[in-house]
Amino acid sequence: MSTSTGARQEPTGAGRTGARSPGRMPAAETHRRPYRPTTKRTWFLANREYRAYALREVSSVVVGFFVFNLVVGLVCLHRGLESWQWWVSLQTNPLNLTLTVLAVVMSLVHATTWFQATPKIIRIQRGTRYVADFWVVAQHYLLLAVFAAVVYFWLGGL
Amino acid sequence: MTESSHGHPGAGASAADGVQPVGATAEQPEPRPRRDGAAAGPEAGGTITLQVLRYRPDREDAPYLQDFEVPWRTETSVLDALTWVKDNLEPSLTFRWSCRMAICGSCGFMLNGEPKLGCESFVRDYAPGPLRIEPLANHAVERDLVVDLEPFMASLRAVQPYVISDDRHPVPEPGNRQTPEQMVAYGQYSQCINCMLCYAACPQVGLATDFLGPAAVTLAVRYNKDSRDHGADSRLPILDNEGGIWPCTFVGACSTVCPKGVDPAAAIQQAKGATAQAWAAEFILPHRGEGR
Ligand code: SF4
Ligand code: FES
Repeated sequence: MSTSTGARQEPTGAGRTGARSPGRMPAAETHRRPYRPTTKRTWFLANREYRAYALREVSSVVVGFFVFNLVVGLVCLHRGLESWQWWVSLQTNPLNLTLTVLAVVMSLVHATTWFQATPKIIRIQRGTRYVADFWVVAQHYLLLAVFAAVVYFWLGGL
Repeated sequence: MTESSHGHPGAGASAADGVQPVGATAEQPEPRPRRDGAAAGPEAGGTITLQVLRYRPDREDAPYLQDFEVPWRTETSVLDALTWVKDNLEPSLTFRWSCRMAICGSCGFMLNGEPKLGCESFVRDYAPGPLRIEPLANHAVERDLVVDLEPFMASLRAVQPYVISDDRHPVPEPGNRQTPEQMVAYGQYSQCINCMLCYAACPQVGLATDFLGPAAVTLAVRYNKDSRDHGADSRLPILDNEGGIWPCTFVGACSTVCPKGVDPAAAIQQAKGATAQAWAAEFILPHRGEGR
């Protein structure tokens, strides 16, 4: 099998209904010998959609690293001038700069892909129709803009 | 099997068009206007290599691909091509089908790695080939293109897919009635034909083997959203379960491959939301303040 596959077993809920196929032969008589394929470890590279999904998930890891860096900064600030200056100098390290740039890109990926997914989660029914996906997505961008503006002015317009 | 056993693979495809009478001589039909804007012209055709997965449990330990050269024309569906192989080359080739019009959900295959219905996929879209045809992914293969349906059937049974009324909500006289708005609330989720393409597309079905899966969760949501139903409470422990909705990581491939536009990914995310709400409600007011 060249596709990413894996055999399935009875789902957890199945026992509830006492599920057992009435037509199935007892094990001793059956000639069935089902082949059970397994899922490859690299399944998430198999097609475009899986890769897009993997990118969406990985983006949060990169953002996580960036947040970790900020937390380290806060701890350094707490520990005094010397360690704060160490952290500030650490920020010009090429590795750290790369992480920061990557974090910006990945935050954008993360935000846009999740905003794009929100119409599946939020369905607003109006009579016999649903509010178009566009408006659900647009409302998220609007909220983001409002939030960004509030933070901007809160920080004194930088 | 009788209707599609003509010598040419194009003969069975006309049911979906509703134009050509069954049993008509299908060798050179008049070109007729297509309704699907196919890329190929009305006279397109040729031969294509099908690489079909074979697995005969009485003879082999593992599946392998077998090549078949098959003639095709504009209207030849992949299911027609398989039928032609069975009729002309390899009578033991085993696959499921019934309606030939994308409504029974029996003919799901992996076509070049993508889950598709064989009867609504056309060979012309895979020309010049080769076209690889395999059984639905994430399922145990019984024989050739036939997979074990039992885990799927068990998932469907598990979610109590029927209208449930209880003492507090007896069926009203003169019977249950719904407004168009109430129907729309679950209508899309009731379009499922149980074709299992969404199970073949979902990596979590392959990884978390006890996952109820897209169609079964959708079916639960379909009844939960039905104004006549009062079974949401009894379905909750089935959904809010390690093998219920939580294995879903929202890849979204189920909705992409669904031939009926059911959007199971949406149903599952909504079930997650509803389950979280039920959890919060239980936390604030246990058993709705009624005791148990
Ligand atoms: S939800 Fe769609 S893909 Fe899944 S079984 Fe139903 S019709 Fe098929
Ligand atoms: S044969 Fe019924 S869905 Fe394809």
